[in-house]
Amino acid sequence: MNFKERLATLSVIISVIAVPITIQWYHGNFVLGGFPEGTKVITLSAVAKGGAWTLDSVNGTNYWWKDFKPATINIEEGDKVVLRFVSTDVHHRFYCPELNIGPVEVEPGHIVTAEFEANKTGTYRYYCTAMCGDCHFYMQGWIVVTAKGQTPAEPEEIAVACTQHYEKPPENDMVTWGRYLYNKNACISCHGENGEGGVENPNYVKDEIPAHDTLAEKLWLKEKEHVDIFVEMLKSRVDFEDLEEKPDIPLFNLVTLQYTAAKDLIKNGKHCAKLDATGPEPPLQMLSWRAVLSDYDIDAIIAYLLTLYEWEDDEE
Amino acid sequence: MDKPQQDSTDTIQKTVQPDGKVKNKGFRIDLFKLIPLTKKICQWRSLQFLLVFPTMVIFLVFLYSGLFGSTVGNRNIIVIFVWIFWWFLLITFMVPFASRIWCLVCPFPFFGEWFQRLAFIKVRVGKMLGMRNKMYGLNKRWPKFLSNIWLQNILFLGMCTFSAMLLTRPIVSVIALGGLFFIATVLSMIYRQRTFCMYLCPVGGFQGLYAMTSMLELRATDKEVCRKTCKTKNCLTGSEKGWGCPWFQYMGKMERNNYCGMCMECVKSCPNDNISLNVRPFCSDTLIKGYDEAWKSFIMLALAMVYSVTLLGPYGTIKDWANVAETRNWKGFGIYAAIIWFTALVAIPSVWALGAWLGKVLSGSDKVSTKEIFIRYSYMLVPLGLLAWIAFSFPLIMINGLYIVSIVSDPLGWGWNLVGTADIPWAPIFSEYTAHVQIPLLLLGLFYAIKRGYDISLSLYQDKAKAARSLIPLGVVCTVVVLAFLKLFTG
Repeated sequence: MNFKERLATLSVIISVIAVPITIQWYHGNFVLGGFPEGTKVITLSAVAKGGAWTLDSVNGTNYWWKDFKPATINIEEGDKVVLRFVSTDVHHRFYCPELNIGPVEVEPGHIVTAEFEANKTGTYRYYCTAMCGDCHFYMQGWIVVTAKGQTPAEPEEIAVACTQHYEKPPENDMVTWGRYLYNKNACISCHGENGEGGVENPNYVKDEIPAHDTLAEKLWLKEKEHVDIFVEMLKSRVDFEDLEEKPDIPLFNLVTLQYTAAKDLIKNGKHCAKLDATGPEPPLQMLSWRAVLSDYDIDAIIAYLLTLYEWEDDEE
Repeated sequence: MDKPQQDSTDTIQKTVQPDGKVKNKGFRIDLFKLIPLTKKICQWRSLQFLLVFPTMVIFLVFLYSGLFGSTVGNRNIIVIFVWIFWWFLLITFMVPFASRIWCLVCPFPFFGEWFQRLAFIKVRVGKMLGMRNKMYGLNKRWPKFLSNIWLQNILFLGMCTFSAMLLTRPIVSVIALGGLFFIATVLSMIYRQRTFCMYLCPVGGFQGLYAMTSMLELRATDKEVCRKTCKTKNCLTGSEKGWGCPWFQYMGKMERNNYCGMCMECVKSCPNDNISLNVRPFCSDTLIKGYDEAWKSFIMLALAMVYSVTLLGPYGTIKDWANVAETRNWKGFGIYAAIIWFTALVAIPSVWALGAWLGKVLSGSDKVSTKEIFIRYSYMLVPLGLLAWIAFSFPLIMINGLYIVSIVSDPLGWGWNLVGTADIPWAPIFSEYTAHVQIPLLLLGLFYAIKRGYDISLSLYQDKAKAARSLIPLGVVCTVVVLAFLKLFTG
């Protein structure tokens, strides 16, 4: 083998090996290593599919098949932290109101950073607050700040996962259809399983997301049979403003008024007011569903929520 | 079929018409004579390696980026550089001005060719398979029934059906390009020379067809020298100075650019100093030889139309159909795929067949068959299709140009800023002038389609009037196609 041939062969072998090594070396030393010494650099990748901010490296080799789990970020008190956010698909927004991080707009493929110093120990919830897809509402996780030398606390598990599959029922089975929509459209992530509410919403005037298993009461439907009549009316798609004969439901005008208000709220959304006007924006907001849900769908969800009310047994 | 005969001189080529008149095929400027240094460079044994090696390294970076870089298409170099930048350069500059020059630097056969030669630079002398080179591997012959570009047609159509995925998902590009790279390597171990490039490479198929228009050609300076003086045929069989043509071309007979990969081995191996690198008029090769090549012209035109509608048109539903990776609308995608395949393989060829039949009827002559008109006139779609593709590609680069600038600084979408351009905000470049570029291109395409169509008709018919009448229906088809493009591009 002559000199030129040897040189060519060597160049090829070296390049095949050098390409990945050089890329990783540059990234490690000049990108991740470019922050001040002592800084803890954490890269969070946003994945709309499955709804997760993950610490995993998300790339072509795993994006398609892997179920990314929401990251729990463990840091120690006093740590100087740089969060590097990267969106692997669509527009996301990172927000951790209790640590005053964000909202940080995270555009697809662009890397943005947020710096903070972990001054107070505790467990803080973070969110995605840009509607990023079917799993948006599940896109939450925890930042756990622990005192130096202490074992990090295990945060509570966040609701149900987006990956949960719900069997699609026939649309004409209104209550079942409503339950399906409630679960599938992730109402469950804020309003809780079976409408029990109770999900914390920092700096929200009501502190927690209200329960909806008491919707019957809110609609002034005081008896189970009144609920049944009302649900039947929803099923038959009557026009409440154009009834020839009013049903046997006390204060029916008030009921329809409350029903219309509930329906409008689902259709148009609602801004969650702040508890402390100078504090951060509450991360969980009621979005407008008019583009996703039809009138019938909304009625079905209302019908479902009405059936959740736990009536006291007359015989007891 | 009356095929034109050619008489070669140093600077000009002439076509002998069936009626005996000599028609000037246009000028030829031999760059080897004009600039002797170009010949020295082309004869340099290290040339191809030095050109293809950097491409190979870049290709490895692309693959790495596609695998481990950003999952977002417009933030990953494999998508932006291959499907936007490279495509634009290939279709707009390389093919029309430098023929299949890309094949000279293409990384796909890099390792495959090495397996055949066990050398990157030097030539191995030996005697096998009628050649004067020593080759490794199994060196099998490609089956005769597949020795055409039908497989390339189908593969290209298949690949283009998934173009929306290729454009948005880097991993799909890795699968497609990595797959082609792998197949090229394996096939080179089994079959002789550049079998993959000749019969399978989806890019090679359309390059070959559109290279007919190219203003550059590699040809024998004097074919009589090849045929009569040269006894060794080293361009085909190789010598101690160069490998036998990997594309199985014999310069004494090579009349078209279609299957010349511009590897320059013939320049090195020719013992008679009889190879020219000619600059020539646009659309100098006009002979379509078979249905496979004719269908390639239909496929390319159909894809230019479908892409223009899908990517540049205002039809959201079609975009959603094409973009199945995002929408998961497989039914819509099925419709989209069916439209592409039907248009390319059935609709356009049917219209063309009807036009050919009408042309035969209008000519009033039985001398030329409908089949011959169908095949030979399909050349009209070569300049037309090429210019339509260029007209389609310009807005692509105008819209996505700044992504290229940005990606140079951050090829993997990992937050790098190599040359300080990573954070340049995206904006279209001169997009208000898109139509100003597209309209002349399309009209130029139509001009060459009709002009070359008429030249072909003259080579088929003795009578000018018959020739012109035979051209009318397919000339009308070409005009309608251009009007449709104009309508789409200008609103």
